[in-house]
Amino acid sequence: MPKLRRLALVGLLFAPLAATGCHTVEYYEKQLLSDPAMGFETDPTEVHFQQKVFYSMEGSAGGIGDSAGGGCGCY
Amino acid sequence: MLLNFKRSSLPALGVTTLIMLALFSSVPAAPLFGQTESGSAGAVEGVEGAETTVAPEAQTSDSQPGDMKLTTRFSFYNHGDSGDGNPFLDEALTVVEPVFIFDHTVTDTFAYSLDFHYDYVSSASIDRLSKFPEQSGASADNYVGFDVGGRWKLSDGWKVGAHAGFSDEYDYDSVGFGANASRDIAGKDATVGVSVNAYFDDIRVIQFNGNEAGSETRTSFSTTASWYQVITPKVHGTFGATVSLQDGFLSTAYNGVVIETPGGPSNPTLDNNASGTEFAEVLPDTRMRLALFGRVRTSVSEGKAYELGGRIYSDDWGVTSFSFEPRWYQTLIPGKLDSMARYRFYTQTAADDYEDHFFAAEKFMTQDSDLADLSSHTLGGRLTYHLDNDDSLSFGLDYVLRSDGLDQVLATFAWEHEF
Repeated sequence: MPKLRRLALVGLLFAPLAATGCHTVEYYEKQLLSDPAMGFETDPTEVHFQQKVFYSMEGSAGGIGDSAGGGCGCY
Repeated sequence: MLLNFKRSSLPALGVTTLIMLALFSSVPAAPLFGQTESGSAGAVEGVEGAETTVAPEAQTSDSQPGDMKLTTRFSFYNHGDSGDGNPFLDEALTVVEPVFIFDHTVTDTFAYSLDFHYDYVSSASIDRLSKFPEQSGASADNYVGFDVGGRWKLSDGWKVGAHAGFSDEYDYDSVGFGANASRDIAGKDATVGVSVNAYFDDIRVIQFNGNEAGSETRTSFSTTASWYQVITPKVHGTFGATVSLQDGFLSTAYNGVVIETPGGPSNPTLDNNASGTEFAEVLPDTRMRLALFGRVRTSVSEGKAYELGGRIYSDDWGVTSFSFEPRWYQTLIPGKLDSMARYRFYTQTAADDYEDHFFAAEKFMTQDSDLADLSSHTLGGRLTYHLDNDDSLSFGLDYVLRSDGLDQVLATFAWEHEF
């Protein structure tokens, strides 16, 4: 399917970037990044609920937590 | 179970996955794994709510040996049926879900978590089943799940995790396994991770009319590659891709499809008394899905930040979706009260086998509203109140306005306690 192939190509482009990473900021410049308002939360209880709601009530899955379907009955 | 893919586009994605895995497995060493701020495992754990993964190590503080945390969350989900969506069936649904997660950091290099969740599901489809004596146990669906996970710091750089669990419902049980690995690179300005999950499900095929058509199996594999990056002293972001493969019985057993007979007698078992006969939904037995996602957060000033997030998704059933989710984070009372407001736009195309109306049986056919053309706008937010150093309370509320009229209300209340 062409759309899927295009997305796969985009994924290929992303992969090498992720493998290298970039050192852009010194540790003493990270004060604002440590602000509570800047924290990427990982509350697993909320991830669990959001996965169930969005995965079962929409036609797409993935991107919330690290699984994308399975192990959860459909409502 | 062996996967048996039939669609021509699948090999390209499979190769992509292998290449990505190979790339991640060759990354040089650096420090990693620890508790995130809210106590979940490593850098490939999910991020709440938003459509991304990766817990940025730069934002986490390692727990100390002996630390324990209990997170309790009660969630409520409801949508009525306004008559839109599938006109033949009542799609009303209510879910109440308590979740408990206990997390214990045992040593500098090992931690574990125990996860128990329960859902009480009340829906029109279950009410329907309860009318059939042989399915009298389906007056409500009770979902129970348990998961055990461990996290290890292997060396001065690698962090790995694994989990196993099971879940059970009236017509369904599942066993799941997963593993993840992550590490910091680029002087801790970046974190890369990869995770794999597999679920093996057994399904009692109880159809819309109460008939039990034996049992089926379903296997689901997913792989997520994730990347966190500090971009500037005020900006950082997470990005990733998830590929998932499903094989087996992928229809929803109790979903019906109405084949209409214009001019025929009305059918009183249908919600709108239409003329037609109901048949079981039939969908392909394999599905491959790809989601690319990311979010970038920018600090405006101390205690204020905004975030732009989104996801692009496509699968070989013909569903393509896009979502965009901006958020605003603000500390209202330093050390005491934090807030988050969000908006989410979501749109998807219909699955190839979806039709609003069928007039003859087809090989594959569904009228599931969730596989139709759809768009939605979500408005919501969350308040978190820190009682003291060990306890915090959180309340979240979202309203989802859907183009098919199945508007949703989501509410959650959480209590986090550290021992």
